[in-house]
Amino acid sequence: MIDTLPAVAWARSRLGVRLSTPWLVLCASAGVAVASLAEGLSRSGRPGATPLFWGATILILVPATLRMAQTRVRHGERAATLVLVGLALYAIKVLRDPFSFTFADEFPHFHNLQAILSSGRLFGSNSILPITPRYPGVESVAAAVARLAGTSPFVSGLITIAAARMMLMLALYLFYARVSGSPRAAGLGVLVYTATPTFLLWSAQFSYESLALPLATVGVFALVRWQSAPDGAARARWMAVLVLVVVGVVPTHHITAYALLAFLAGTCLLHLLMRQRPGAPLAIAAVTAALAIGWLALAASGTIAYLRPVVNTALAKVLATINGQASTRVLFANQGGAEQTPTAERLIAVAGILVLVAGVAAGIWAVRRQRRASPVLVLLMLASAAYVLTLPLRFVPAAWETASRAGEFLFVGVGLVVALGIVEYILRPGRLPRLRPALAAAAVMFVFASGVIAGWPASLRLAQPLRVRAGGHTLQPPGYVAAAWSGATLGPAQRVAAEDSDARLFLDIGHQTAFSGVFPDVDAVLSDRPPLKAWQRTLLRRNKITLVETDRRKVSTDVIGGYFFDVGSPALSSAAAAAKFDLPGASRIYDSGNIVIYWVRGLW
Amino acid sequence: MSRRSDLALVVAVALLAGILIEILPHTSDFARVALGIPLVLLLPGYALSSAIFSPSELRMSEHLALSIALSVTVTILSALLMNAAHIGLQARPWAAILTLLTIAAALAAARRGHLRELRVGRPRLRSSEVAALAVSVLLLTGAAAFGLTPLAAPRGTQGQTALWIVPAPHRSETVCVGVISDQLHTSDYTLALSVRGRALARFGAIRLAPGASWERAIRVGPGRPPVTGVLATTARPRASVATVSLSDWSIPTASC
Repeated sequence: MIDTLPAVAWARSRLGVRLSTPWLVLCASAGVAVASLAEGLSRSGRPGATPLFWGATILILVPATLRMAQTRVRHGERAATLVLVGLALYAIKVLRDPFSFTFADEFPHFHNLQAILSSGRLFGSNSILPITPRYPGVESVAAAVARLAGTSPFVSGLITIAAARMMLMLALYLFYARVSGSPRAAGLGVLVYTATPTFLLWSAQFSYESLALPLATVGVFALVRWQSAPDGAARARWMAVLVLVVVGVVPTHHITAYALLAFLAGTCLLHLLMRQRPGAPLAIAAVTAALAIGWLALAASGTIAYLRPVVNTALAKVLATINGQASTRVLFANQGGAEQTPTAERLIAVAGILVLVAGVAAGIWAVRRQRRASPVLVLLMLASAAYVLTLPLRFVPAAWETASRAGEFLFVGVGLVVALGIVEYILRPGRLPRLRPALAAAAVMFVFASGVIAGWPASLRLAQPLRVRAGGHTLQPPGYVAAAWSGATLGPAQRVAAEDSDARLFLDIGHQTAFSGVFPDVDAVLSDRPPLKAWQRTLLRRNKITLVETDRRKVSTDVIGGYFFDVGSPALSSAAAAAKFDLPGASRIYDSGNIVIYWVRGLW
Repeated sequence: MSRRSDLALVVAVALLAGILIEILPHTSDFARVALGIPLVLLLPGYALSSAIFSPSELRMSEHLALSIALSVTVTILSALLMNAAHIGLQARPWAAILTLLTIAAALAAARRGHLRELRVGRPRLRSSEVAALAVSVLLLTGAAAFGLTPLAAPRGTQGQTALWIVPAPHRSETVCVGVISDQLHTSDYTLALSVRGRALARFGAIRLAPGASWERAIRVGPGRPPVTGVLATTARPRASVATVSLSDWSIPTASC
């Protein structure tokens, strides 16, 4: 069917090109090369980067989708193609930040990795995300790569997440193929899954969830193999694999462990409701619950205190928004609510969501029509419906992040359900056979673009100037210079209060103990008008803060965009607030214009 | 164990990696990378899943997924156990654990007859497909090389110049003062130091290329007095670029 597409038929007859693996490799490689060009144009401030970026994603996704839409494709080739797509899309993230990690959560995890490598011990401390050292899975693997392969911590982190990506693409395909019985739907389902708004960038960061979610996906694949095992011995073998995987997930990421537990519990419940008790993974769910609770009690007791405010605030804000007591969130805006996504991209994002919702409805309808739903497939359908229901939460300021994070897990259901809809209603034999695969590819590309647009601020989607060449030297942004200076000149024992993005630099680059945000309330200490109040001195004393860094650039409060060179004059906050530390007892020991570092031991 | 089986290859690679890391635990070369990465991310899981399942039970893609997942789990578990046993997470013990576990699992798999014969088949590729793969390698190499090259800054990029001051370590009544240029062009500066409002020293023109720095240790007199420094450009000497002051001499300077 694909071979009848005009472009494919022309390429085949004139160039001898088939949609075989080498040509798919060439398309994906061309996509990566175009992405590299786009990122280069972006970080050097030249025009034309955005169209090239979208061109790169088309080169990676569309040929693979056309191949997945074919019926006579070997299982191994489908798996290899999906791994290829996963790694090529990961390369886009790597090419965006090829010199160092720049995502908000990457800084604390990279700090943990550096601490493990320097001390040889787990469970260190982390002043930015104190819970992360209690879940040392991803850092342990990266540390092992660094130790045994001799690679730098940064490269070790990249290798670890690349392996996780391979695992995710393979496991998701194998899981979908088992649940649906259709390798074709499974392949398409994995490609639809790449439309998760967080897939391209956020889930590819060096962070605990980026490893835990792929591991959990192997777990759910092992679950369906356990359910379909022919005898008791085979069931025992798959149960052993599943338990081993759970043992890997639990010390890696809290939410993923609980999501896996919820999946197992949901499967048990549906088995009981559908009167299919023999397939209910009761023992596995119990083991998972015991391991998760055991880890919580013995190693990570701070998890509840960490998660509770996030969930409570989200729930409270949802209720307040429903009651009209709180304003709604501006969609397609950056952290400060200011930057706007181009109108064309907003239209694509909204239209893509509509296509996705239609796909979910079509998939659920297709499964119901065929009356073939297993409890796991029903659970995936419920997850896909739940994803649709979480979409309105993106209007709630304090709940959008929770909704976005939940979306990563719920989208496992969306991927397969939408793919079943595509196979049933777009790819079924009928009229216009030439157009059908192209329509399927367009649908996948459309929802992927929609996810990318919704998942990251448009102005920060592509590379920003982080290392620039000038006069034969390589320069780094002022925040990096200040943090590096503090580490080199004052040593790594200082305790620093700084804005959100700067604090992360002090943690990783300066190797200091850095505080930001509201626990303790560094935000108020930094942003309040003068004079410095008694409670603020008390806060400095109680937290033994020796250095205060003031940064007048408003972007320094942005944990996504605060790490790069300013292009043009940056928006500045009040000079008075920054200057309130010019007091007797405080020493102004570093000044680079907008960034000033004070030694404040004398203010305690 | 057959010499031409998958498990023989797994054991050989794990042994080579283990021996290399034992002999040269701190080197970083291609062989170390090529052997070390599979020892962490592939081999333990491959051997374990071979011990658990017979080859007929798993497709190659399933075997690969399980290999990565179980390797990751084994690595995490080994880190937790080493930490609990107060063994530092260093290269040698870690390599020993993963190598021994891989060999033990491979031997268990071999005893159960779970071997896959290694067949080095010639891939049936057309010449155009070989060319496509060759072009792919070139494209990826070019993408990586270009991606890793620092480029010129966008027009309008804001550079900064930093002035700093700290007490000199191990030298009383002396301060270290320095200038770091994070500007995109070479610039000339003047630096004026004063003690209790009185001029102490003046430096300039200090010419700094992008990324260059300048540093001096300056004796400021008895009694650890407050010291102030003002940096200006030679083009606009009355407009200060940066101002620093030192009044607390207890700052624990590590080096300057």
